[in-house]
Amino acid sequence: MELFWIIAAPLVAALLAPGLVRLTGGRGVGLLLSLVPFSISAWLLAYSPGGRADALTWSVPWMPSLGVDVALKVGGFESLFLLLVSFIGGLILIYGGAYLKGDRQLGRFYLVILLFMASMLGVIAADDMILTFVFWELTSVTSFVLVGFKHYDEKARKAALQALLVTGGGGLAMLAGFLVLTEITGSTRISELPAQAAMIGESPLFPLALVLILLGAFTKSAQFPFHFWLPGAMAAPTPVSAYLHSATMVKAGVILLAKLSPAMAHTDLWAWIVTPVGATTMVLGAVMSVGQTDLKRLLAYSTVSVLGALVMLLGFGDAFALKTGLFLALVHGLYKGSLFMIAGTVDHATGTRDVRSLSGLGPAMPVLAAAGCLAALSMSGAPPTVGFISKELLYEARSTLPVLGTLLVITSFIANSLGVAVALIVGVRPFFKQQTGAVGVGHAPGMGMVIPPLVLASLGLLLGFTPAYIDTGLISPGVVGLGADPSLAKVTLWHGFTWILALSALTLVAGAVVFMQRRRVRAIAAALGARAWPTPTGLYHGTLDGTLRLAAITTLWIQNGQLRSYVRVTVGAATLLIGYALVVSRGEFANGEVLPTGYFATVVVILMSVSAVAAVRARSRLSAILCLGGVGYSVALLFVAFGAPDLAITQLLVETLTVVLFSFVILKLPQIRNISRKRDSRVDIVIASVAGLSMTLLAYQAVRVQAHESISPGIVALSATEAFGRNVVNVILVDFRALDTMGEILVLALAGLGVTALLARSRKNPAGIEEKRRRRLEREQGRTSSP
Amino acid sequence: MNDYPNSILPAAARLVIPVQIAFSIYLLLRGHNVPGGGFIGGLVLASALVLRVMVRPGRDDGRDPAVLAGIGLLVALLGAVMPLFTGQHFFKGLWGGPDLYIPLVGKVKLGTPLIFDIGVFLVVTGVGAKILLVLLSHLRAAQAAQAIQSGKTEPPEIR
Repeated sequence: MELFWIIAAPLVAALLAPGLVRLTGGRGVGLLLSLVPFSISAWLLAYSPGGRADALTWSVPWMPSLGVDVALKVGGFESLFLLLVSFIGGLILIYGGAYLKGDRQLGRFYLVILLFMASMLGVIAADDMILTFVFWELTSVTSFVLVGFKHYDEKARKAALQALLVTGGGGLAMLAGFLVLTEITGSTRISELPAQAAMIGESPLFPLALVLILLGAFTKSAQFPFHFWLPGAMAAPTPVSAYLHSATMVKAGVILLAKLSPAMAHTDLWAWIVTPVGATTMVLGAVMSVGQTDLKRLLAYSTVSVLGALVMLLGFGDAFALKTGLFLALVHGLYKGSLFMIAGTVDHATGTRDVRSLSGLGPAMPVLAAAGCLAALSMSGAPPTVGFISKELLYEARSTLPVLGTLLVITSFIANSLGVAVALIVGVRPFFKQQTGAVGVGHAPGMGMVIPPLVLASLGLLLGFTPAYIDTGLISPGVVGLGADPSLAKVTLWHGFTWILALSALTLVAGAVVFMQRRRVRAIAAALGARAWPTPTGLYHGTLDGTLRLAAITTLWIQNGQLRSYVRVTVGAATLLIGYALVVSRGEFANGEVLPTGYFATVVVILMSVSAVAAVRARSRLSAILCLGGVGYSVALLFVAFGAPDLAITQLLVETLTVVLFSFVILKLPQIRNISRKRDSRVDIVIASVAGLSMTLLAYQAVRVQAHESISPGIVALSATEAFGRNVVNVILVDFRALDTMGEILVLALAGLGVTALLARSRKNPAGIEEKRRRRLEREQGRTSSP
Repeated sequence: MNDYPNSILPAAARLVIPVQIAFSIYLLLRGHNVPGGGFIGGLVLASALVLRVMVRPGRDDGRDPAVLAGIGLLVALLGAVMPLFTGQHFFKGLWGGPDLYIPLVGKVKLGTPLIFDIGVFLVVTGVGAKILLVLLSHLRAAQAAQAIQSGKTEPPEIR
């Protein structure tokens, strides 16, 4: 199988999805579409590029002159994440179909989420930095559409914009970082970086490249201080959150860091930036998560915490930490995807996500309750789930790190204990205790909304019993893929009675205590959150508002609505430029010949001048328009006089249509009144005279000066032989310079759209502007009357 | 409501419009050899479309000339990309097929530049007619408003 199909297959499915939904009304489409990602998962498991000695690669040249290829590589590391993304993606398609059943936008959902899937698989498999960037930004764009899926909701639109600005902006920084890195290494291939690790570390450009790339990775993976967009993005429909914000997109930054770690993790700078940021994010996310009352925001902040843990582990960069990180990423994808889907199902069934009012739902939704408990077990790291194994590994990672180890243990302990509390709040608590009566199950959720989370949660348990299988099959190949030795860390369910086991037990106990005291903890966490200053969210809004205000001020200054100043600026600037050109070029190249002027042309020019003067002196608008038309027709006559019939015809037609156009709008315009002050008029006269004079000189000079050999004879000669046309003007338009014409008609069409939009808007609500003006007047009057 | 009650314009338009349409196509087809072409032809056709609505305001059938502009862009693009399928460069002129002999116009060679010119023709027609028609509808709204203000007539039906 060609490797590119893992990206192309979801793309094809995406394009087919809306049609399928229309054809079938949406029934079974999710199940059908899920076959695409599931078969990718199956292929990865069966063919197991991870287990093979060397990675699968595929590439075609893209920009050969820059050495950029569409290069894909699937080794142990890539196949682990591809598996995660494709498998959870399949479940999400089924779940999303059930969640959005009957939604008019269902087809659109499938389309965009499959596009996202393709881009995400691309981010993982891409072996070229430029290609990575392209897929990376595609995930940002598709996530923008998905977060803003409920586009009729202003909050959703704002959240989508925020996510796009933060991650898209980070992506641009990352591109710059890639370019700097390419400057150092001379190659855009990611797999060629590790061989040059020493050179990269010593380069004076390295700090710049690293910081820029980290900006991209940190924004995408919601690291402090860019973490705020992730909870905001919970405005997305839950299937989207379950997919993008648990297992896939937010891991893109981690994936990138992991891919780059063989080439960069040996530097001090890497450790000094990546580790603290990760640790801060880990603790901060955990603390903020328990302060939330909304199921999805709880999960979002706890995701921030886990992402922080992953980044911190990558910051350590040793084999043990890498292995722990990969394991944690896998485990987290399973339980968090499951918990998100459970939260969505609960929301769907009861109409609320507020943890304070959810309880006693177990009897009504027993299967979902089971899934919730399983996922919560895995998240809290209770044996015998995979969550337990990953937590043991996390604590054990200390052993290889003498100094930082203590930091690791303390931060992990805090984050994990709070994680236990979150697991209990989200996965267990809503289903138990008796119902308070406030919220009931409106309608029982369908199979499609229960089975996918159950599958993911059960996997967490099943895999816990077969640690050796996931180790040899998935995790160790992944570590090998990153160029590290996986044999250091042993993945087993039972380590014996060690201090790590004691710490795990203590974590569970601490988590349970926090859960019991959750009201008090919530109040403290909320107070902490309110005290923090300046919050990153505040900075974001400040920057955004400031930019908008600056734009408004500039617009008011440039687009002040006074026609006179527009004309003055335009004509004045053109005159200055022309004048400069005339002064510079005076006396040069006077080798062209001025065509002799016949009587006919002289008469036309007189006619034109008379019309122009009459237009200025006209007392009524209609006569002014007719006089201007006279000028235009005279120009057409001039074209005739100098043998340019095409131009003449065009000019005549345009002139006619302009007069017609004017006569249409004339009724709406006020009578001509002289509202200019004397001084203004004098300035206008000067500007107009100078402009006219310089245009005259320019025209004269243009005819006289022949800087280069004329191309006219060549074109005339080629016209008939090459383009089979005797009308040179037309041949130039549609053949020789057809690209220009293409641009022109495009501009014309856009201008038409613009005019239509402007006029249609004011026609629909002609009172709107008046209303606004009246209110503003009232406000101003109010201001002056009250002292 | 008719803008030109009891005038000869509607009667004349009935004769003029077909001539305008024919003339615009004539200009389009002859353009490669003698003055004419898509741009000029489009302007003529646009004025025909506007005239048609001017004299028959009541029977505005809701067909939007902007659609023509969109189609025109696609047609022009088609003319531009067709050479790509034969391994030639973008916008390379391809000529082929039989020469057509059209009365009045004469010989017309078939080729991608002609397709492109037809695209230009449609865009100019669509945009020109659209802008003028939008303004025309504004004019009518203003007239109606004036009429109501001066109390001359009942408010007209909303079209």
